[in-house]
Amino acid sequence: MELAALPGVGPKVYRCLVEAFGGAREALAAGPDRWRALRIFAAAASEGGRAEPKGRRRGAPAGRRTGEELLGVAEELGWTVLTWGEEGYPPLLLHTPEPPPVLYLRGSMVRDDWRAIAVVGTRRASAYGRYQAERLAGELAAEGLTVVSGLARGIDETAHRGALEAGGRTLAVLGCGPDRVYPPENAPLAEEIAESGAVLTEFPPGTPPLPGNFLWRNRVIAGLALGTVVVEAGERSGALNTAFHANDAGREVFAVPGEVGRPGSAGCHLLLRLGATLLEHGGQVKESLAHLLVPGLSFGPVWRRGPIAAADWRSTEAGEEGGEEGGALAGKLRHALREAPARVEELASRAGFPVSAVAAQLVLWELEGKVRGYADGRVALVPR
Amino acid sequence: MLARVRSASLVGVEAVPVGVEVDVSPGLPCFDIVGLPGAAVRESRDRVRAAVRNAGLPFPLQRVTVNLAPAGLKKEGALFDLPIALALLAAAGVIPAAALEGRLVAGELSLDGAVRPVRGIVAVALLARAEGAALVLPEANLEEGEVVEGLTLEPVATLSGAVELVRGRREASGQRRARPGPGARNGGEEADLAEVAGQAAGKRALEIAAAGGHSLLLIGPPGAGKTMLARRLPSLLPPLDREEALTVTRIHSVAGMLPPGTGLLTARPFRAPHHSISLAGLLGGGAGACPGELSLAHGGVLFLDEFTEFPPHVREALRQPLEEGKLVLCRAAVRVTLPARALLVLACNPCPCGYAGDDRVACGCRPDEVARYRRRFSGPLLDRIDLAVRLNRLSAAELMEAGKGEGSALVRDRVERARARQASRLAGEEGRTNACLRPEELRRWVTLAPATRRLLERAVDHYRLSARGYYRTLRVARTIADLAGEEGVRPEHAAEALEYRVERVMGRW
Ligand SMILES: Nc1ncnc2c1ncn2[C@@H]1O[C@H](COP(=O)(O)OP(=O)(O)O)[C@@H](O)[C@H]1O
Ligand SMILES: [Mg+2]
Ligand SMILES: [Zn+2]
Repeated sequence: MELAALPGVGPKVYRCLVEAFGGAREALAAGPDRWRALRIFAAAASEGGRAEPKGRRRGAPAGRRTGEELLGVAEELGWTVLTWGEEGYPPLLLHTPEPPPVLYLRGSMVRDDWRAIAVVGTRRASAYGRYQAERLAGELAAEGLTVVSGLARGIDETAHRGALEAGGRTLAVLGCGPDRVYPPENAPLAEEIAESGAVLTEFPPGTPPLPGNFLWRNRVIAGLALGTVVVEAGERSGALNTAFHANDAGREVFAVPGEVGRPGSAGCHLLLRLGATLLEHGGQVKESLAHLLVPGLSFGPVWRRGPIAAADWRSTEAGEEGGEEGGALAGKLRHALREAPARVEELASRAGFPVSAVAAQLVLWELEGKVRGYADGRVALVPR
Repeated sequence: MLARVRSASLVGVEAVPVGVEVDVSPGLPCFDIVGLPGAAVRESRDRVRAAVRNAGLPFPLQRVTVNLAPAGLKKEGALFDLPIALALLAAAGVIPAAALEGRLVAGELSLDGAVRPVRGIVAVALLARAEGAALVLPEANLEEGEVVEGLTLEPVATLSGAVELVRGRREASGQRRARPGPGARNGGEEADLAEVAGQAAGKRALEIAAAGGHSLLLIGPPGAGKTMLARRLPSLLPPLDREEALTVTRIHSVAGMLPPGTGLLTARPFRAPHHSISLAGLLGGGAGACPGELSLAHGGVLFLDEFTEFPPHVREALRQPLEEGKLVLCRAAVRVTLPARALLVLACNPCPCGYAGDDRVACGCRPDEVARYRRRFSGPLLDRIDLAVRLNRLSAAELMEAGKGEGSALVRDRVERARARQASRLAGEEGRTNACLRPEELRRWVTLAPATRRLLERAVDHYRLSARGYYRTLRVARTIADLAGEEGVRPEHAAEALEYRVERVMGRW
């Protein structure tokens, strides 16, 4: 936590450090000198975690705070903390290109929250846009899906309300620290959301709501959901940014058409031209995601990146019987799987073993619950 | 005056003896054929009359009656033209009747007196050999006749040539032309496994299918190489032995599928009927029970591309014959058995648009469309499939790797060794492979180490294997162990067999 809150330490750097040192605590203990030796991240190492951060997380309070301090502040505010690899960390989010190392959470997330759809759009919403957002969010909620949005004015707030009114669950992702709500007038709405769902942020306490933060936060909105619905958006709007994050994470993008010629329609129409799915009513979301929303599947099947935490494998690896003939194959194959989930041919070529042996090993592991196959044929490690 | 000559009628892939008797007697000139002639045989009258006249031979202006015996058998085909013409000329005293003895005659006539090739010569030659007769046959069918060893062949090109032959003016051509060289390799020279880039899992499934005679399902988007792989399956099978080659050639000969000048077929057939094929076209039909695609695939591979498009009744009809390796047709009074032991390969797209699960092209199907499509998979045929594998489209870079992998010959070597192991186990039951092991045989031949047993128990639970699915897994595991050269089935053999279950592949996309 402390590590993640350091300026200049984003998800990528965090991942490198954790993998290199075997855990966040170990990475912190190692200190900037040893980090520098890794040569992966210029900023954090050279600044030793002190100087002005560059890039996205501008505005974070300078100065280093320990994990205990951060946790203390958060708990005082009534928030809890989830870190990478921890039980309860949203699994869908874990399988995005850059999942946040730390999530501050107010309210509660439930197991079924992976059945989520993001509903986003412009802050300058028209009456039509608001109507559609509220209606769609309500329909999605009624279908048992969790509605994710960003608590912004306009479409976002309407979507949250629509879901709440339909008696459904909704998650709000903030672009600032847990110690404030932006825009301020939505504080009561945030309270209401936290009662039945959750308010989340990746930013440490004290982070102000700067524009860059919202854009960066959009990947979390997209990452929490199986698909993103854009209701009304200008041609250069944050909602489009969310849609592109969704696409990068291999998630479905839906767009609601508007009136031709109105600026609020341009973004959605652009998405439609790029191949987004046209959405008229909530049921269509469920239809096009039917392959994911099946009983038994615990979360989304399309993995662009592998599970991250290096600790994932520690337990199973230790329990693995070595020595026998399968040992070499098992080791190589595990290594190949850790790189990223893949199909059997790809894994065989990564591991340098024939596909027959790899297929057999994967089935053995599947029966032992160590790996899991996805609908697209890729196989992944089951994170521990 | 009466004259007789022997000929043959085709029933399924057999030739049965038919006696052609012609009586020429005084009376009003007429020309009758009796003895249950089929339509083509009735038309024979006109061809024979024209051919005899155009060959410059006298046609008797008397009462001509042709009888085809036995009367109870329906006769089909144009091969009676020549025997009728010769017997008629003998009855009219143009040629000596004794000259027709010891000969079996088959051939079609054209109006100008030329002798045209007929189908089924291999079967007819086998009959002639069994009857100890020389075979007078169309010259265009000579190579086909030569497939059968140990009989005298007398090829004729025209009716007058045939007349000269039986008058003894021409040397009976016992001499043979050079045999056509040994036929093409299985699958043809151009179809080698090495040309398929990547698709390691697909190639492995192909190898297992070839080794154990297992039926195979290839599922994947268009252009993934389903057809390409399926076409290479024959090249992984051991070559046909002489007996099998004769059967395959006979079937093609009866179906009229041997191109002129073709001798013994030595390559395993690959048949890929289109889904618009009729039931008769697939199974065989007509009064003579002419073999269909299924029998033409005997000894080789029957490939049903886009098999979901085949109507359900067609798929259903294939089921039993494929299981038994033969096909029984009931035609009028006779039951005809046709050979039908073929390796079944099915291919299909994963969804109506074809791109479900593809990495680059998004599937454009609505979920209900996909669901409806997938419902078509179930039922007939698919429940006979032992192995299934998903193929994915390769990238351009991966396609460049073509030609670098193992060639067919290497794989065929392993297949042959695996088949030898099976043959020693199933001694005496020729042609059977692991794919047709019965449950009691499985108990006997598939010895499971304790670890394998534990693995299978867990799999039955975890994958909810049915009894049928369990036996299927055992059969495939037996083949995988045979490929590995092991008598005991090890856990990894069983595990690999589980990987190729149809249900597993179907659950993926
Ligand atoms: N693995 C492969 N290696 C080499 N060429 C391939 C491969 N897969 C596909 N091709 C090329 O693509 C063409 C189409 O493949 P085809 O077997 O007809 O696909 P499908 O039957 O799956 O639609 C082939 O003729 C071949 O030229
Ligand atoms: Mg094809
Ligand atoms: Zn499709």
